[in-house]
Amino acid sequence: MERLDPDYISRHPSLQSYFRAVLLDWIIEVCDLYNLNRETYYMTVDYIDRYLTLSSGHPRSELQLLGITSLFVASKIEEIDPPPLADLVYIADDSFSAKDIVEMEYKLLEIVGWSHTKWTANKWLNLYLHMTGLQIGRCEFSL
Amino acid sequence: MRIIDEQKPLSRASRRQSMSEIGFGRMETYTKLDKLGQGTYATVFKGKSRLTDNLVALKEIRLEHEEGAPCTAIREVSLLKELRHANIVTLHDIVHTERSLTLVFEYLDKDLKQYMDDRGNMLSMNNVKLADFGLARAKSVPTKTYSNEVVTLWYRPPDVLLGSTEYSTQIDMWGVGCIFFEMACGRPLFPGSTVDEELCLIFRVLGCPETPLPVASVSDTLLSRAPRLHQDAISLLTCFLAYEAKARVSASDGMRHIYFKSLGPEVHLLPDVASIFSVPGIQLSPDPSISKSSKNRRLSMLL
Repeated sequence: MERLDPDYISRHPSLQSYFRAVLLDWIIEVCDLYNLNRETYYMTVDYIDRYLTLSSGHPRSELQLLGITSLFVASKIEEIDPPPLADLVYIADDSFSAKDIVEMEYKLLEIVGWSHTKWTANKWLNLYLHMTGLQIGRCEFSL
Repeated sequence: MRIIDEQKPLSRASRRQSMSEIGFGRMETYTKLDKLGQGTYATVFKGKSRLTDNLVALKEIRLEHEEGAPCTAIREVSLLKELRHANIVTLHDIVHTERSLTLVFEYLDKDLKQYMDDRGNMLSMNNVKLADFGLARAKSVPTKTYSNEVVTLWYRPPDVLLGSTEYSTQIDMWGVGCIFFEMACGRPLFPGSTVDEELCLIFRVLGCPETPLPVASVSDTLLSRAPRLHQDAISLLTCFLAYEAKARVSASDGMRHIYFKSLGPEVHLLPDVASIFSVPGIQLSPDPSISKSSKNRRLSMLL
């Protein structure tokens, strides 16, 4: 798996760095609303960053589409009951159709080569906590 | 205006480009032959690669699904892409179109049952390989709960049958025990058709979870059901069939069990991608204790 490029934003002329922060804030809200696992969120962020590392010229109007699609794929891997596609269309205020998301999913999986990250920041943290012997698995920690 | 830097970060894209020129990722590269089977979400065909002339298995997944790519396909591909092992089926290629997703696997000509039935005539040194990772998960630190509707009923451990959702790798070691028995006997150990029946079959051999039977009596029961297994094999089997998940032997400790001692120490130094038959002196041979006639006798007893 290739490393993330910390400067990928420079290859996307219609994006600015703070857009990523706005997008991630919105995604964490969606995760909260649907009670999704914390790991799903981190996996979503990894999909977004890897897609933008491996592509160029992503349009501003489709940043949210990339976000919701990344969440869609991450949920399918990580959740027992992933939110249905119709719910994701609704939560994005009908900015995109179900077809848009399925088409973006195709593009996302092609670009990232179908792989998903095995080690998110969340997993490292859990590993360290596990090694210290603390029974903290079910406690929430703030972002 | 910005100049788009196309150098390093696009290496994957350019690599994909050159792979595509060779013929990878394209359906024209593969000739579809017989249909091998149909599952709920995929159809498997025997096929042939025009690049190598080798046989392949084509697992065709329809994408007309309303929820996009099925989660089983995403999990299977992302896991298999990272696994390289002599005993795990190789994923050669992925052909992704708008309408279907085809996974191109190495062709295995028998399933485990056919392989075992055929062992008397075995001349080649074929490896047994694990396939079908659609319901697999990457293991991690045990901090979260999972679904308890997992694993084929016959191989599902009692803790999960009773509703546990906090399992880890030990979930599979129970199934390893069940399949070990099945390979030796040719019939399943706990062939229940409902969760209740499955638990009853387990209780009959191991006793109830609150008052489990002593190991000696469990061993006797297993021995009477599997006369082919000798004492060391029965001892290994009881290590897999522990009620408490934590008490079940791990895969790496299981490999060091006395049952495998006759294979010698070299098998533990084998690289992941090397076949066990590359170790000098290891080969398949028919078990002298079962002749064709005794096999028939057991079959007729079952009927």
